[in-house]
Amino acid sequence: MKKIITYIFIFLFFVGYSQKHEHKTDTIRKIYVPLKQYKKNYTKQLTKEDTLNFKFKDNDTMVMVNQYLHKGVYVPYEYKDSVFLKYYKKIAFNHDNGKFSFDTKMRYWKKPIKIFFSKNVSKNVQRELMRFASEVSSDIDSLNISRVNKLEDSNYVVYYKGGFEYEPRMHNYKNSSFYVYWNGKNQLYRNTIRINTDKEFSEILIINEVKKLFFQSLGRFKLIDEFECENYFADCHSKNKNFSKLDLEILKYHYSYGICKGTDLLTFEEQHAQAKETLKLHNHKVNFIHTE
Amino acid sequence: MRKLLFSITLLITLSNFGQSKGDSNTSDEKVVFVKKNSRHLINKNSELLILENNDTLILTKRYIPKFSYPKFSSKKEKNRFKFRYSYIAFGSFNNKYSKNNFPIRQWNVPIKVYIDKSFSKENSIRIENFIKSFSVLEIPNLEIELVKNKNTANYYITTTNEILKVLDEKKLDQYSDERIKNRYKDNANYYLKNDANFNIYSCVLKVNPSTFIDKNNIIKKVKIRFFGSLGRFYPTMYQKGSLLDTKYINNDTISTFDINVLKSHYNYIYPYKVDFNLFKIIEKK
Repeated sequence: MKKIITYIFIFLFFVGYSQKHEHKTDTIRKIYVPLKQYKKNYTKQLTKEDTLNFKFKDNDTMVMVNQYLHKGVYVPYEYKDSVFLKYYKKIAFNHDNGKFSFDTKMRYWKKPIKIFFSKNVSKNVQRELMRFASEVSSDIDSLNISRVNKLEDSNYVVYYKGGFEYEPRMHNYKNSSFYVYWNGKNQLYRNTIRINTDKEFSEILIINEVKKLFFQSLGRFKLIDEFECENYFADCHSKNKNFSKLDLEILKYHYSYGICKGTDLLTFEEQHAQAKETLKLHNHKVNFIHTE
Repeated sequence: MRKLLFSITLLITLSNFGQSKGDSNTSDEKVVFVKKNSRHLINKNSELLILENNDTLILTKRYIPKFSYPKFSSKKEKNRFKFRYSYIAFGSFNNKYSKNNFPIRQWNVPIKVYIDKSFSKENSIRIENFIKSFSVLEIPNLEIELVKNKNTANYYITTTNEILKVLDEKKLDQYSDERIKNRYKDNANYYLKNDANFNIYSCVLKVNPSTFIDKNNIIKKVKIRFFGSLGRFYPTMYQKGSLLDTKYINNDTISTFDINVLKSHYNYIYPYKVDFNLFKIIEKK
């Protein structure tokens, strides 16, 4: 009998613990900002009542506020594990001449991509590329791709060797290639794909090449050898190449505003380390503020 | 009764723990990558992770094929073949003499050959018959077919008036004068496209008919170059009757030696870079 009572006691203890645990999730939210930042962003004058709620942290006076104010769009930090990030970094931070540097930047399209095809690009190639572009961008809100009929309306040109050289810097390239421009914020704003039809002599080869180059140009990506060749982020050829779930997940992350855009590798590393630490230690919600 | 009470207690304890973990911010993490067939793994015998159902990790070992040469009547004959194949595939009998240590090149897609209309009808038919002769050889992992629509081809055989250079002009200082004299220019050559794993996916074979004194040699040269392009094979001086023999005499059939070269070469399509050193490890497996 004594033992039964003991078990009932244990049972009640755990039920009690469970309720207590649930109750604990109804937290009171208090937001503190450093005094310096308060003076910069808040118009309301500090009252005596405010000073009573002052707190001190790391030699800073913290002011309790009702709402955190900062100009821009708040996007929750998108958590990804270290393994995912390891491969993402290899792809997105395309080091010049393959030489590793923390200064290497990630690049992305901010404005919609508007593709113009030169006259000698066959209808079939145009159709296939636009179909692929639509497949790639359909699940990514911040990546918009369309086709335009006038060169002046475009920021992306596809052409063949032998016709008008839309990008003079590529006129003597032996292989099919792309040439992309970016601004000071590492936003890509113009690209040209040049197909060398001496090497890509058939439509099937042109379609494969143009898709590969187009995909790379979406972030001046580095293709890597760790993935199976069926993925577009893999640097090898496959007859079964397709826009895989893995490709989508990486591209989606690249265009997600749950990470900082256009940063260098060092900043990227630091921000992730900080965000993860905050999540781990305090279980706080972490936001990225996009001021543009 | 006691056991029942104990079980209830245990169940409640575990369910509490489960909820608490499920509420944490890190519970929805997904590993969404595949690391498979990486050339870096082969010597480390590492395990790798692959994606399944979006969030399941599976550990699996990398596949290293068991290499097998075709059957020979004697061990001596087999060893002789191994020695020669090694040279044909890598340009070296021994790693000591291989300066560049180029990896094996293999086609990893079916070869679809289009013959340009610029060839005479007679030559075109002779080339077609040669290409067709591969289909009866039944080489595993190697498919060769003729196509009538250029737009579906990945192998283009054509004529040209340009001077075909065999050696890279930028690297001429690396070659002896004799080699430059003998091999700098040729009347036919092939241009392969391969990926980072050295798997070939397209080729253009060009012939300059105006450079042939004996026009009968055009077909002979196309045959030699076509066979070489099936793996960027190195020519040899020691195998009479082979399309890889530097003194090849035109023959209507493909020699047994050449068939064995293809069978060995296409034993398995490596989805990673295989250089001479790695090949020796695979060969011994």
